Amino acid sequence: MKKEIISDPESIITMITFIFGSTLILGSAGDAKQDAWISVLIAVAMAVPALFIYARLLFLYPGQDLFDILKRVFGNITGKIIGLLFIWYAFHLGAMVVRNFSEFMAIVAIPETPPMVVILLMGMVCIFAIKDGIELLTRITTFLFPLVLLLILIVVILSLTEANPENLKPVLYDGWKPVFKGAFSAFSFPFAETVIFTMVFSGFKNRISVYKTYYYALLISAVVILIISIRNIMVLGQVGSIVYFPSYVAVSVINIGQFIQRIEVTVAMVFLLGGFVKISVCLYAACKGIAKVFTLGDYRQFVAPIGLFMLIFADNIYESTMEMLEWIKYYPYYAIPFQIILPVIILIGAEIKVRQETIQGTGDR
Amino acid sequence: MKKTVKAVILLLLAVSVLQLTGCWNYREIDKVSIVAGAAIDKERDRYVVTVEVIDMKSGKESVVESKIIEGRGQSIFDAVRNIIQISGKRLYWAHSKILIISQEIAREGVADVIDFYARDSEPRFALYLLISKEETAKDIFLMESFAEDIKSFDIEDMLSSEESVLKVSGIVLYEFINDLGAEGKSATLPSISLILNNDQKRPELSGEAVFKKDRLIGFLDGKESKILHYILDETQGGLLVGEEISQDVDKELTLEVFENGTTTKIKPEYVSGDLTINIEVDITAAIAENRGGNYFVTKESVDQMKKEVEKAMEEKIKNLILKVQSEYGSDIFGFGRTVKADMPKTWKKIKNNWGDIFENLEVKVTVDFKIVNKAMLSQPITIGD
Repeated sequence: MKKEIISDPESIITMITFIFGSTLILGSAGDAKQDAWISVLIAVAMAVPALFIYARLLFLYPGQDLFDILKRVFGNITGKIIGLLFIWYAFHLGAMVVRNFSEFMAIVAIPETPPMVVILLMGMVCIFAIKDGIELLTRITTFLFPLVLLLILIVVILSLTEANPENLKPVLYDGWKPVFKGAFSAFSFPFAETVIFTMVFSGFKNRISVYKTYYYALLISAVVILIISIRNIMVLGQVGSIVYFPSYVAVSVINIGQFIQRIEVTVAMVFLLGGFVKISVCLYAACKGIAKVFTLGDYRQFVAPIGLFMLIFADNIYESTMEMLEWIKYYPYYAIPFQIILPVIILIGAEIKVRQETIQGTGDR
Repeated sequence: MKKTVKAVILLLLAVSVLQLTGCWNYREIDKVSIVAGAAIDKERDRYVVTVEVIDMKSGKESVVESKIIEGRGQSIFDAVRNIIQISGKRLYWAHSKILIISQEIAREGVADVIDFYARDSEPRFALYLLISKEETAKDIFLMESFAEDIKSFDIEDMLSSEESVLKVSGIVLYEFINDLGAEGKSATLPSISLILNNDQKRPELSGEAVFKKDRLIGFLDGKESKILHYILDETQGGLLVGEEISQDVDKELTLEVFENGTTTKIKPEYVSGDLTINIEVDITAAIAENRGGNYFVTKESVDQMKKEVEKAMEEKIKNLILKVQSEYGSDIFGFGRTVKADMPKTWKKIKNNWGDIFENLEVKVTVDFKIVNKAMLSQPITIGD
């Protein structure tokens, strides 16, 4: 199996796009209403230590991914059991994003097309991309990312015409509780989801790159998400909390001189790339995990079956859009073990193991 | 052998591409009726939806006309779907610009009606809402169109150019939903009626419809609406004439107000349980018409005019607020929202009986009027022998 090496800008951009994923369309910290931007700031502050854990793990064992680390730290059996949990998380997260995408398409564009058509078309692209390796994915992302970022910025500037800063007031009207609730949900979706990358990235050019990747990605994506959430509040006000896709609606009301209007498709384009990257990364993590945990050699042979299984799963996880939105409320609690508890345990184990190995001189670092 | 198989597969793939184009249930443009605008009435328990659809005829010169169709149903969507039986085509709402709601429905509550338009993905959130002052909403479509061939587009043009007349301001769907949901701000919508203009029935944006919760409770006429927009700080120009300038109507002066330099600030004040609202209005204007022959050259004459205008405007604003307080008891000025934004703690204390507080609210108005120029003439036209 050839080693997959990813350069710094590529890994940063891939992670940013992953974080954008479905967040830019579903909005973050909806509980906090006009204070959502404060929630985003708090969520970023919470993400700094969490991301340190993930980065530190990869830093301690350069050239290895989460599954290798688990095996070394906890031994064969325990390591594999924990590995299975993470495979499930990656698999489930991928399926959820697929479903977000198909629900979005069904609601805003093609209500009568069977969701499976949308799911299959999106899923097949991801399967093909991952079959050719993570390098391909990071390169296509690097190529498309400037376009996406430019699109986001232009649309934000255009929506200033409809923005009303008064909507941000009063600050902290309902107190801190909803703000923290929103911060918690914005932390687990999307920032802490980058835990998936501990299963993905192993081939960095040098050791320090992993910190660089995590923190640059956090910084840039946080700024964009912050801008988007402030824009949504200023444009939509109350309406922002009753629509499913606030960004989409906020952009749809732009009307500059009867000429620049109906540009909400740009939001769908951003979602298309973000969703594609997020699904692919999750699929990659799941396949790589299965290959490693069951010691089955190259992960590429599992991409198609696991991918198709993910798509069928996506079609069946929720009955309806309401159920999907209901689940998003509970998702942060579900994600705590994968995003905080297990990584902390693994890091503690890894730190001890690394020190033991250095003392015994068996470490191959 | 292997190469032949590959070639066959490639060919099959290429052929299948031809069949897989387009959408699942695509709709060609000649199979849908594009809705330009709609009017909603109620007849006993049934909704009557009247739509204006764009009718395109191709030929040597393509003609764009509109047709009016109506449908009845238990709900709005039911009525909309029933229209298919008449038109034979499905309605396509993404280009609809206006939605006219009848007084009768508005008095019962508009939330039921606009739900469909906000929920469905085809109509846009930037849809203008209007209240018909005629007997039914569909009467408005009896009008003759003027600039455009499509009546709804005509009304939309009126709404968007209304800023220089400033009697009403166009409210689109999402703004209206915001106003409905906001604490301490009642909604208004422009009202529309028909007038005879040069023997043709033309629509007129006659003023604002005042809501309490989602129910229509009354109308403001054009002059009152103009004052309302000064209070709401939505002034984008417009004129001041006659009695708005001076108590003595014989001051035959017309002032043109500039958007730049015309602002309104609402400052709430809460002292020992008493809420006072201070309204500070700055108006910048130029003399646009001077029929009285007054010179306004000396500082005294300008000062005197300034004083008169300020006094007259203060009076007008106060009267409107008093009228709304006593007749409607509906906070269309958004005083409550300002209190909430500026003094959240006070708002929490008073919000439960805001209705009562608003009706007895003390409002102080100060108008600062500034005249910047006299347009092209430095002196009135002199009349000799």
